[in-house]
Amino acid sequence: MSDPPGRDQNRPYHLHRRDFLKWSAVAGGSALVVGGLGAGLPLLRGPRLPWDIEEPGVPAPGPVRLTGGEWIPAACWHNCGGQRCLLAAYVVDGQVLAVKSDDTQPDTPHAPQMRACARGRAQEGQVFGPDRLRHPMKRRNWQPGGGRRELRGMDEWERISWDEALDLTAAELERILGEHGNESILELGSTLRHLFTGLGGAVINWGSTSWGTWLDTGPMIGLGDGLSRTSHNDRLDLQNCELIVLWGGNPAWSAQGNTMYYYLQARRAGAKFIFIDPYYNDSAMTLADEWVPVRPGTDHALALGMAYTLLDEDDPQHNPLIDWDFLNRCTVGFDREHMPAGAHPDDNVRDYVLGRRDGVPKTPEWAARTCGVSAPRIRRLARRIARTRRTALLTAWAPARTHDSDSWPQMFLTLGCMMGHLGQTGRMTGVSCWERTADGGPFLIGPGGSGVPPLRGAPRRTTARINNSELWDAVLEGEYTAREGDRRSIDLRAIVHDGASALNQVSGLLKGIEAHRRVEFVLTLNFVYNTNARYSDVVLPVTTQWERHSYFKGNRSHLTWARQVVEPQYEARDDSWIAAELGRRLGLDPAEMLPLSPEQEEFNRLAGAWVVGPQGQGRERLVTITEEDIREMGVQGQPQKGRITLAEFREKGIYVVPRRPGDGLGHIAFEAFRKDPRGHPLSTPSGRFELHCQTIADHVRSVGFSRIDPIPVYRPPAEGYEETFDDFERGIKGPFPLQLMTLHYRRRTHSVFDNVAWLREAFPQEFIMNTLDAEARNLATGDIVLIRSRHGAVLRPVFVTERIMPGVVALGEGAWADVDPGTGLDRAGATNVLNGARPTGQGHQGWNTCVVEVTPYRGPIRLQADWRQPPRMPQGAV
Amino acid sequence: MNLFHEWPLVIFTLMVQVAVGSCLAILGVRGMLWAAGASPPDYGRLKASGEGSHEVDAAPLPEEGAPGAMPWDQRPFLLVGVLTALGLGISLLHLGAPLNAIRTLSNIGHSWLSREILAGLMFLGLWAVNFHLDRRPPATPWLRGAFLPALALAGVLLIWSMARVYMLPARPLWDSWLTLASFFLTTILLGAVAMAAYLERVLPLRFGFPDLSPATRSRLLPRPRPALLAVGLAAVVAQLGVTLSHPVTAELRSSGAGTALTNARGLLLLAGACLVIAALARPALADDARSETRKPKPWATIALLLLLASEAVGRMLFYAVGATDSF
Amino acid sequence: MAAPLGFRMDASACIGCRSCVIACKSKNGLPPGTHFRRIIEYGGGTWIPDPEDPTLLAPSGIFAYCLSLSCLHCEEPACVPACPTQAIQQRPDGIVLIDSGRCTGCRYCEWACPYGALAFDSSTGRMIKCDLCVDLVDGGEEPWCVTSCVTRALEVGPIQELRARHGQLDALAPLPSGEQTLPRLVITPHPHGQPAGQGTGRSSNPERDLR
Repeated sequence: MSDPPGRDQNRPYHLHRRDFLKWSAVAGGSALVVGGLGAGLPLLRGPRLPWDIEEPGVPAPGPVRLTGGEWIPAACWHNCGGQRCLLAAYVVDGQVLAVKSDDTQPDTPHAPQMRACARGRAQEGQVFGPDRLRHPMKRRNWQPGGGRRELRGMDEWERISWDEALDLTAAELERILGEHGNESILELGSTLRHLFTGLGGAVINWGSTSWGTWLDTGPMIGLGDGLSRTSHNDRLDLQNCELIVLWGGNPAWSAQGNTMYYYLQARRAGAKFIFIDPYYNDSAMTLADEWVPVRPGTDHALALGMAYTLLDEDDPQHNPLIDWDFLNRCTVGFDREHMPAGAHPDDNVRDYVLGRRDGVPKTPEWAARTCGVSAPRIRRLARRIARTRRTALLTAWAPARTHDSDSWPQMFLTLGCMMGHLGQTGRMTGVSCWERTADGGPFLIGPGGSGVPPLRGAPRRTTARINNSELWDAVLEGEYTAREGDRRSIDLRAIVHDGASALNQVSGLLKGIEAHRRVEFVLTLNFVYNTNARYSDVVLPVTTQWERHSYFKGNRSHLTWARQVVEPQYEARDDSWIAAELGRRLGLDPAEMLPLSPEQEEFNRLAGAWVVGPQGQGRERLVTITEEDIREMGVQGQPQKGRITLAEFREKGIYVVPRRPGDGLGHIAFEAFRKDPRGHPLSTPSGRFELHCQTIADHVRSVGFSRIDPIPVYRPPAEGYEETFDDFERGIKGPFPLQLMTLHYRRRTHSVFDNVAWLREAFPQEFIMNTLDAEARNLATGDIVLIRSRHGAVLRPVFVTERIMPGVVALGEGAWADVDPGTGLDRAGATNVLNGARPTGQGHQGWNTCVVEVTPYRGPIRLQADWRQPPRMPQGAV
Repeated sequence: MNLFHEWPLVIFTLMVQVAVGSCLAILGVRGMLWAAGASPPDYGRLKASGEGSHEVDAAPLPEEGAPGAMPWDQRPFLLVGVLTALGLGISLLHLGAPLNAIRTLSNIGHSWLSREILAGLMFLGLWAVNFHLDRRPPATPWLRGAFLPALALAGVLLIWSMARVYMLPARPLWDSWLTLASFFLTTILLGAVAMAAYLERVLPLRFGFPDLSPATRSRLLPRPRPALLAVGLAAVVAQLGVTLSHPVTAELRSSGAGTALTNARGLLLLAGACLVIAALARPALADDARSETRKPKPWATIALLLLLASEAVGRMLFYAVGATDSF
Repeated sequence: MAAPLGFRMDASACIGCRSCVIACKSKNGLPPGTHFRRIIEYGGGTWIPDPEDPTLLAPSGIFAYCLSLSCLHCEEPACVPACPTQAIQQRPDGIVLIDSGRCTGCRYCEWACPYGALAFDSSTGRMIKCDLCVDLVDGGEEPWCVTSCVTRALEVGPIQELRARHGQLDALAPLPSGEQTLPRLVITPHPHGQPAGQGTGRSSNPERDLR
């Protein structure tokens, strides 16, 4: 199959679209026309030269590139952690010339346009980029059974036809299923899940990733996890805050879109901001009135020091710091008088903080040594937050993305409860992160269901679930932890990457590569040549959302409807088509995997789309659909009346629920509960916030990796600050004296977008290090450094700044690993080379606890600037 | 820091500066010889005499094509033009759209770059006229006398405008009169030392007069060569001072980048100065008979090479540091 | 005569996210290495022994801010007189445009401009620059950089009006003083903003290449 017109097979990373740019367009005038302009310049403009493309003249009124096409609402479909924006692509003859964002409505502070970030605007760079997978490919030295497995990641690729690719994939899956059973296939994605369900299941992975320990601990103690449920008030209520504490969050990077605009509105309304973070990040740069640098993984200790201060200094009459009324009515476990049923009275938070339980008072002095914040400052911080009535005590997931931090959310909640910062206007405690950043409350709008019937045979038959931190060990050593005291053997023969980016995005990447070289078959479905694809045997190119029929996504108060922008690129196909074709070859009914037409699915979502009624009362249909609309769409359905016409929604691609203060659409988390805890109990066993929570303690124990107390006891995390020492008590540093943080980096959403040249240029993958640490190692910005952990080593240019704490270093997560075969060094700075797979607690990934050493690199490997690097896709092979 | 990014400009500016400097030196030597008794316009020509000796002679030129009919400065003067033309040509490689180069003369009223190109072309044109007049002397001797100072003036204007190009408020590291001084000093020191080296090496050995009598040589050579060396030495010393106080050097020092190259630049200048002194101290052509059999010591030539290297390094640093944004 | 246009840039709201940079690249089809708009990051400060606990280090005066910068369509643009081919001209409404057809690619304007506003287009060998999205501005719309800003830190309008509303500040460190070219720019300073020419920090442009 030939390529679509205008595609350059060997295009470097940067797009060349100069063809469309008429740089010398003439405004229809000779030099004389501008006489009198240009501040009296003498117009010695010279004659036309023989080689002139056009008459030299006045510069045209701008290069008019964008003519002759149309704007199509386009998807931005990645798990960015931001607001979920609308894009629009300008399409001329199947070519996208430019991408813009929401300009469909007036932009006002209360109802702002849903403006996209740099990544979304650079979407064209990956859809049409040189790393797009174009054709099915097979690794040259792969044979059924594995062939030369050790060559995975280094082998050459052969282009094969779809028929051949599907045939040999089906045959190999069938062989492995037949010989080794369903428990021999590890499925690390989801787009073929229907297929594997039909085949009797496959082994899957589990474990909290981005959400850290909030995933399990949050709901168990009564707070939202910040993912499916928030504990955050409505965004307009932020403007009622006097103080906003952002503890371990950087929305300017990790939650892009309007979120920083909402915080800026709060600042303009008078709120002060405190940032508690090892990094004076860009959010702090913009908002912070006070920055409290704290070592990674020690937030819990800092919070304990603050709690001690409150207990120590509280005087209900003269210095009320603690909201005893709230503690007594709304929580259990704070003191021995308010314990949940069955709990030991000694296991209360107060006695633990004061040292009566373990003999160690959690004084600010005790905390200072661990967290790096001086004791007087801890005291001032506690007083300031406690005394400011309308305070939002907010955190992102990062501090919980540390080993052994299962009690941290509970400690955070304890602090909020002690100060009573919950359930009232301008007061909230909980997670402000991801799509829920700076906004909370029930959704005000949503799409309808797709109408796809549930699969026959569901629920899915899963043969085994392996924790992310044991994945590669399970492949290599044939054993995994099923639950506490239950180690099971397993014989994995195939790895299927149907979506996701597991090899790059799970801790222990080098071990992961080893595991990939161990199995008999590795299959990847993706649209780019990412790390998964690189270490595979067969690669199947899938379409992006820009090549699919429609896409619906929104957030609390808006819904976007993106349409197909371009035809499928090269030979890319939808995942569902691949699933059906593989299913057919494996004896399943393909119709079961493609039950509805994309048009019908789209109609169902539109017809079912709803929007909240005036003053928050009830729901109404969003879209008016006429008989004619239904005829044009060629679908089954009934006409309906809604708030906007189908034509308007189709053209704009977005509907934003108009907001203003007092519109009845606001939300104060836990408001009813605070007023009447008995009448509106939480979903915890006690119906209250559980500062003593047996549920989470039992849950962590049952997982089988470690144990925690039912109250928030600080445990030095694996690979935390304490492990930077050989002898912590005597202060003797060890071989890995620095703490590594792995940031959500602006260049990417996790690993997506890493190959986009515009973004590579704007956001180099740099290793961030404090000036003092750099000086001690004789390093200057731009030097190439070798960063070593216990698990691997990467090379990166260093960026030296005062904005990060001494002793702490940082690197953005998600760079596509580029492991040098000779040395085993990763040239790209993939953080999971440094982060080891280390299962703790609830089986979450502890990415922000990792100890490293940094040295100047003087070896033979040379690094080019990221955006000058050639594409990862092997050129010429396909 | 990318040292080679502006390589066409490094070569262009240095070539033109060597050319203008050499031209000024030639004119200076002509002036000295004229003052020593040779009369214009045919001062300083060498003529083969019957006895196999050569003398400075104001007599009519030998016939065209006669053996040894060689104006002593014809080769270096030719080189001035060749270097200028080559330099201008290489400067085209700096342009993204060289076909539009002719348009660079469009903004003489405002742009120093336009003026630089104009001065360059004027210098080249006047050189060509003079070169032609050297070969075919005009009937009216005053015409020659008029074109020679015009050539010198064009050279000075060329260096002036070349320096002014870089004296931009937006480039604080360049925007200094020291840039102007430095460009002129480069011109003078390279030109003077180049001519001294030529007089020392090339004249007796390469131009076919191995049998110059010591007496002739001692009459011809001693005066211009030390004078050139002295001027060169003064320019080198001044250049050292200018370099040390130039904003580019200050920036290099404060940033710590390119320390080795900065040091190399200075050391090469110093070494050049030493060699110039050595050349001054030891005449290339001794008067006594014993030196007849010895090859002259090439001190000035080595000095020239060292100074060229120094100026090239300095110019590369000039562009690499000064052209970057201040933020 | 049309009222000259200019930018207002709110440095207290800029988060350095580069939405404007990429929006500009998308509209103008610019490859990497070529910018009409860029972000200047500036910051400084030190770490000192914590006065309250000498075993710890404490931040002292650490600050940072960003400036988003394109061609400022100056009142006295340095690029216009510098251009040896007169390819750069200014419209009555102040928009500085380049006729790339006349340009010889000498890059002298690039040196003359104190703001790094001119870009070399390696595919044509000529200079290109921000035209203030003149195709949109002439149609009554706003440039893409302005409409892309997620914190609404950019504004475009008649410069006299912007100055009347937002003051006269036209430079913050590390920018040079506005006296050179009289840029049509109004800056709302960041709380830690430092005066031009008197900055104590340093810039950290990520567009830098590897050493």
